[in-house]
Amino acid sequence: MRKIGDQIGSFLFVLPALAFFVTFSIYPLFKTFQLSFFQWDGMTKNMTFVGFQNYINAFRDFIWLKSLKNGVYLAILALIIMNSIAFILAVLVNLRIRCSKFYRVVFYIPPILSGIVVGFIWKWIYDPNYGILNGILDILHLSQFKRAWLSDIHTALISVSIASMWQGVGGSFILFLAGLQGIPEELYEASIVDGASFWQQFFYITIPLMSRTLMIVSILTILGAMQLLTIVIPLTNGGPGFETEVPALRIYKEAFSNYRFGYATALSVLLGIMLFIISIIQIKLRRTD
Amino acid sequence: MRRLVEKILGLIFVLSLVFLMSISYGKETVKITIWHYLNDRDKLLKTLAAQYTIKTGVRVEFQLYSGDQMGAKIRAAAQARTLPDAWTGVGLKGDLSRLAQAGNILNLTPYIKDWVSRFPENIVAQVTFTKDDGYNVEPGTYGIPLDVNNMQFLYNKDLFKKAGLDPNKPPKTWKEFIEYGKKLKEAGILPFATGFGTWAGLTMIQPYEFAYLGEEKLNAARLGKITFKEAGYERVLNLLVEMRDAGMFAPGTATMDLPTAEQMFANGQVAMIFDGSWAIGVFKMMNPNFKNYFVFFPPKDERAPYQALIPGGIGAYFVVNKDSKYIKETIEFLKWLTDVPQQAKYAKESFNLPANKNTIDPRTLGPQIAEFVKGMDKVYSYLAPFKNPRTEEILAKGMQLIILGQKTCAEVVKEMDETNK
Repeated sequence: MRKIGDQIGSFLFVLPALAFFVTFSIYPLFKTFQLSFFQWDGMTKNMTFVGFQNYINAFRDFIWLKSLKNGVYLAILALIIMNSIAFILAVLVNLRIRCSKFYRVVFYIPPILSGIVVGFIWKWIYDPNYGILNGILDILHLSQFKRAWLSDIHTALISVSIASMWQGVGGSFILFLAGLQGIPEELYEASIVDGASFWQQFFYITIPLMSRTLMIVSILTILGAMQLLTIVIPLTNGGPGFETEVPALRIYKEAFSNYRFGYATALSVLLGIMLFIISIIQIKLRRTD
Repeated sequence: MRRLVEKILGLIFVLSLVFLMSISYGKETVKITIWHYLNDRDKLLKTLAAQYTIKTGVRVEFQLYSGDQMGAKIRAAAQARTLPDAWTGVGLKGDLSRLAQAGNILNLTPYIKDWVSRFPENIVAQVTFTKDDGYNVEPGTYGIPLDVNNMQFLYNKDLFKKAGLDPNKPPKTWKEFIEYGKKLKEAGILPFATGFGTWAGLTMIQPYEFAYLGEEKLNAARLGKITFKEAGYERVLNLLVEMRDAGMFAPGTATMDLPTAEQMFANGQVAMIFDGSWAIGVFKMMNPNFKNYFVFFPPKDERAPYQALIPGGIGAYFVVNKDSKYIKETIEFLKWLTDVPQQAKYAKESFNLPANKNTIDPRTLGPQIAEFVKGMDKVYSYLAPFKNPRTEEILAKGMQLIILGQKTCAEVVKEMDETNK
């Protein structure tokens, strides 16, 4: 009796959080999945069951496929360049260089800024007529490299990527720093006694013990890149053409501009499944290592 | 003793709370919430709201939101049933019809029938649904106009003079328009910008849609009854090619938003812009010293057989929430807001054309506004919705790529036809 009483008591304590989770996570998940089988404009009561037609249309939709391609491009760039920079910064700050506490704060400012704010900051930087990037190129006598960075199809996506990586590097940096600080000092001390060089310590102690953190950061980086939205809207709104269209923006536009709510939910289900599969693969790869 | 004091203080605190709650419960203050996106008129609307509160005791709260996101905000609020008492409508019949079909907005006809005649009929028609108009909405008027506008070209007289052009003779023909653009470019002046990154780019070609296709063919193509190719839409898009080849577009125009283009124009960085009459107030806000500019009607293209018609008509307008607790009070406020004294103040301080036709007095309007007023009779009365709303996005993006030289007009028209099924 006492055991049942304890369990009921525990359940009652968990109930509010469970109710919150079910209401704001589980129910929307099922509702989204349900809506993906309907043609619905998101406003009126007319909902037409279309089965898997929305999913079939997604595979034929050149804009959606383009947005996925752009998302993958942004994710790869972020994985390689952004995380490399974040890791190097974390290693340097972990060496307890002068003003390391100051750097820790400064590097973490961009991630806490709103995406819209970051978008507008970089929009001004990239502005072809009075932006500081073209201004710096003028000062350095490199005017031949001046561009309409966000309007040129060759530079628009990389420009968006740079803005996104600038915002994201701080988040990866903090996680890497936490991971580095979790490595016991004794291991390094023991390696010094054994005559290990800095690079040997790095490759044989730091990297293996950071593998779990690397996996987590990689997953978060891919998830973040594939769900990029708030930076893109002020920067390019997916343009020029669909050159900087990203999956989250496509879902948003289909739902709220094109009145294809059912189709938008199908796209979001597909994106969710893709990201889930990628995360599982990464976890399994790490376990194999 | 200490415990007694604590008990007395606690009792006083509880009694105070009960007293305060009973005051607020007993006396219900009418408070109307109105969402809007008119950032240059926010202060003015709040001033008018305060005047109304003093006059009637009804509190009116205007809440400002970004124009570009207002549509999404309204749709989200409609689904969540958290719409305010009224809001400034976004888009025209296409967007309005969905809100009406969903039962979110009030059919105002029975409420405003005694005073709707203060507005021009063709303006009210833009927010009025009829039986066979294709929108499938219960016939009636669903909006109360606040101002009217139209969109034309504006030019900087000083920059024209600098390029050796007569500042009092803007281009009258398309050929002149291109020639002026070339001369401005040669003088080192950016000739033209507008918001091709947003809806504004679409409005720039609308006069030429009417001029080349005519109203009947244009609407038939939009409704999917004929293809855009059959309608000859390529000729319209080719105008962008001509502008591009003349070097008329300022760098970054393809993805530029309208506020950026307006800022460039107000700062004297670009010579011409396509914009609405509301821009007069926007330019004043951006650069109070910028005054030497004027308006010109879309230059006539001799190759086009029809009369160009410009976008415009109803500008800002209000819709009322069908589920509002204060429908009567909201409509009373909007009636007061669109009455002559308030509209006169609105016109004077915001530089926007008032919707109340009894308020428009060309003698008291500035020269630019007066020029916009002349164009009001050339505003198109009806533009059909696209059969597939996505076609508009395909067109907007296609225009960007034409400007960048990445797509041909034929390719864009083909995509439009494939989408508009």
